Amino acid sequence: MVKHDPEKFATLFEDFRKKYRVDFSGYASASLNRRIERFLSIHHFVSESEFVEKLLSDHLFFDLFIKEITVNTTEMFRDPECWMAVREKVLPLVTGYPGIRIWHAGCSSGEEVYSMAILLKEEGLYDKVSIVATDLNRDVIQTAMSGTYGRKSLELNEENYRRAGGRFALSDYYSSNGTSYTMNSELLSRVKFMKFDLSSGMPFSKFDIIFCRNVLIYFNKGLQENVFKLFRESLFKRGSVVIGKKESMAYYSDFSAFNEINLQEKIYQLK
Amino acid sequence: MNRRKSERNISLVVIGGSAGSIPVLRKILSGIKPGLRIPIIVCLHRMKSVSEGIQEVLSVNAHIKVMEPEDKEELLEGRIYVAPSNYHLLIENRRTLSLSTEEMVNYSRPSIDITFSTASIAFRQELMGILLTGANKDGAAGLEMVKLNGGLTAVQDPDECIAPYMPRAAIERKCVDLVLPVDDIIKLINRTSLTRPPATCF
Repeated sequence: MVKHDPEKFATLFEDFRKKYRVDFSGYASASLNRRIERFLSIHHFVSESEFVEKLLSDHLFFDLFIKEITVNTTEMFRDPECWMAVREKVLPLVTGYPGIRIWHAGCSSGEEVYSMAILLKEEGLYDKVSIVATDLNRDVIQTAMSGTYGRKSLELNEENYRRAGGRFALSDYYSSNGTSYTMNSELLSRVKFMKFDLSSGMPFSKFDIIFCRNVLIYFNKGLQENVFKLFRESLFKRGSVVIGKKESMAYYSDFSAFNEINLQEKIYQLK
Repeated sequence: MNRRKSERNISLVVIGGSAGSIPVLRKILSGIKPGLRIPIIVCLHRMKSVSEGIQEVLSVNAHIKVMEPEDKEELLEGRIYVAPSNYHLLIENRRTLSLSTEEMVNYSRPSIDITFSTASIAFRQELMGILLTGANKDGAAGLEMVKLNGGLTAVQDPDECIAPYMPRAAIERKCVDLVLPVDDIIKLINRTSLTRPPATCF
């Protein structure tokens, strides 16, 4: 097995950035290095140079590498109390708007995109939203667009939906097909998917609500700062941002630009 | 305070446990003397749905603050950091923790292997790893990493464990320096903490 040398590997980040416009330099190192070691233990390379050569010359291989070293685990209505708070505290802020713009930043395989779409349907707001869902990785976007998930995630998703205050049954929103189930495609009628690297830091539109849950934990504080700045610039006045339960905005240098809507669930509103 | 040359300078203690480990940990924490000069990181398996309350359950010693860290939380001496439910807890470097929602490892999130192995990379020979009672092999590979990176390793004596599987799995890997009853684990932590020179580089 080729041994992972974090310092040596870091010298490649600049090449990746130039060639693929993907920047790993702000990633949290403990997790990144663990994931790279895991990748090397699954795929067998004769030498380090073979591995590096392939990363720099084979776009598809690089995509596979990104897919496997980034963390894409997600659930529908993960942390049900958070979704309850979104229903009760965030949606009322935008109910009167003629149009509502929502960004899922780091949407992974789409479970939270569907969760939000369901919530918006149940609150009678879906018809006036436009939703943008972005991720670094094309493969997970494909999964998100297909809306087809393995059966073994169903029990947890059903339970989360109930605990999040779902008004009906999750089965009203999917059709089952043996080993998998597929979310109703009408849940995506107002969703646009896009490949986007959060570490590029470039705002591309303005939104009323930004979701970015359990993405920032993979970034170091420097990159977190840049992403918070990006969110600030991408929010309309009084727009809200929802981050992961164990993530913190308190390190952000311009934290005072935000009010806390729900401290426990990490929901903030731009002043 | 003079230290024997053979005594190590331990800067971090990591403790892992599974089935039956909460009462053991309560006993250990209540036995820690005032003036703990190092941080202690605790990684316990628990039910995913039981996410609240662990902080209260482990707050048995008025001298030490028990907390479930947030991402990028700073490591400070005298504190007990408990891996939050449904997240892996990683040691980013000598000052910083990070969290991850990666796949379960050994059916566990948090996984003791992940906490121990990332701690061993950041702290090397200045790390002490302790495995308590548990019915899962998670932690054994992590403790081996602690040993391989020069740290000190200990397990709760399997004979007094409610579930001896976890410490035994580590002993089978031949990576355990000390097999100790809980009372001696408490003494070991107190000795480690008190022999540490004050005001070191945190």
